[in-house]
Amino acid sequence: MSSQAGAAPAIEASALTKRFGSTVAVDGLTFSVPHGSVTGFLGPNGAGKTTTMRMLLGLAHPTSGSANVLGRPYTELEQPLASVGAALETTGFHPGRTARSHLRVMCVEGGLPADRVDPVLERTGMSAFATVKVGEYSLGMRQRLAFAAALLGDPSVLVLDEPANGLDPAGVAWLRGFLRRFADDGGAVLVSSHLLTEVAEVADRAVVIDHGRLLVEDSVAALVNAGGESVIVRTPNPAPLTTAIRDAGGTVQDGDDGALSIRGISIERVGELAASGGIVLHELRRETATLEQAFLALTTPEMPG
Amino acid sequence: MIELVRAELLKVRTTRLWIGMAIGAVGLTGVSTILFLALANSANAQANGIHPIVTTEDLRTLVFQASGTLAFVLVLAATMATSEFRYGTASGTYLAVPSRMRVISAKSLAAAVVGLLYGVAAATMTVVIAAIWLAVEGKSVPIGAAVIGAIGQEGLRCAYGAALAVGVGAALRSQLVAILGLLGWLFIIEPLGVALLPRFAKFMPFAGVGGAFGHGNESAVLFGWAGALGLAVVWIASVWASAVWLERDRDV
Repeated sequence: MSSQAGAAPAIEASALTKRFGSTVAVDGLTFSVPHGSVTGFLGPNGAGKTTTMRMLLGLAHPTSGSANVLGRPYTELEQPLASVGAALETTGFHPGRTARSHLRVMCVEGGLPADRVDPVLERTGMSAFATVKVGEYSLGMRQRLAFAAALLGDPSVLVLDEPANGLDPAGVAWLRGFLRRFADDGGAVLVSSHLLTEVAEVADRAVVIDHGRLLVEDSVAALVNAGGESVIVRTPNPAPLTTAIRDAGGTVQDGDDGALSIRGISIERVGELAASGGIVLHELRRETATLEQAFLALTTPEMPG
Repeated sequence: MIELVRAELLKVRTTRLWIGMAIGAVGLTGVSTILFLALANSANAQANGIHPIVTTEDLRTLVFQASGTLAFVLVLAATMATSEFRYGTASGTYLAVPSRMRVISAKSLAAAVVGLLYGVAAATMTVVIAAIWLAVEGKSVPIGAAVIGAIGQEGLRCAYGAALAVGVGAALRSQLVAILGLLGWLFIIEPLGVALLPRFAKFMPFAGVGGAFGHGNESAVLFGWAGALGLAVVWIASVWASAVWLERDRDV
């Protein structure tokens, strides 16, 4: 894999739109994935993530807009498998074919040397199952095979749809480490996942969509920081503390298990207010927003009051 | 394109369907051959065009009469196209080869190669069984250029059918609909068409084109074998173009 950091984005979607009849699955989506980064592609179920990925890869046709991979539409890449590795689904295998046969077919189709097969099987931990028919695979094994297929051409761009689905904890940890190293070596990764903690641990950037529309495209750090900090307090006597905090300019929300979630004033000030009011505290801690909270704040519609 | 054809042949070899279809094709042809040979001396059979094998022409006719290969070839070839959609492997194929026209072309060529092999194998087996049968009866085996030509014609007929079936499969995508459609056409619709509209038989994809490959009667051949061969090209090109046109704008 050659480093292309500093060049044009590895993936660029521009006003990408896809309609299925009267349903707008993807609505004017514009975002990019730079080299040397892992970009999390986030959104609730049905947000349009998979459709978008399929359009990026030329498998689905945009109603309007365009998508470029390495500066041109995927369908115009000279040797696509050597440029882009994609793992979109765990069902795209003939159940009667072995993993080795599946990869051998891909090598011949993609103009890749057949000696690529064994190294990627080894790399993805599939060597022991290379001659087992795919129909006998578990979801995790299929996921690994999909990933092996994506790596077959030693690409510089990876497009992965829910790659951690079905993997065991060791597999997830391996995947996380692999994607990090891949990006650190200059590769570009676009990875969709509903496992936000996994994305938060590996992704530098996040593209969040809902109802096919872009909600935010930013660094994961910026997204999390936008969620801010809160102070969590647990007390057997919440009423006077709530009043004192509100009088001091803070906001109070009921948290989990009777805890109070406080924003707008520092943890030190909360402690001082409790001490001055003689209020017993069972817990006092700072809580930083998580990617999950930021995601939920962006994608969860407010409940009508 | 050669690499893509190789890939398609590898796809066929790495699953088991081709074995089942080969057993079916060769088995049915073998049973038919034995029945034809066993019945050849009965007066009733001779009234229906089944003759004892005496001349090269008799053996050539037996090759065509006993052939049960085409139906199996149609099923296999249609499956080569439709299984990509049934099992979702089309995504991987189009990721490796984004040009759908190239994929369908490669499949058609690969299917034609497979069909040719099936046709030649089954026809050869007919000749081998007949040779053994005649040898056991103490008769001479009338093998000549016409018989060798019949084996080649049977191979070409199956190659043509396979190329056609890939186009139908790619256009329809549904395995069940494609297979039932092809077999329904071969065994029901076209024979009905030939019976009801004999003037148009020479234009039909199997009855008309069959003339070029030894299966047509004189009245069903359009402008001789060359015309029927031209008709084969027109049918393949039409079905191929329809499949490419439909597939080009479809989502996978």
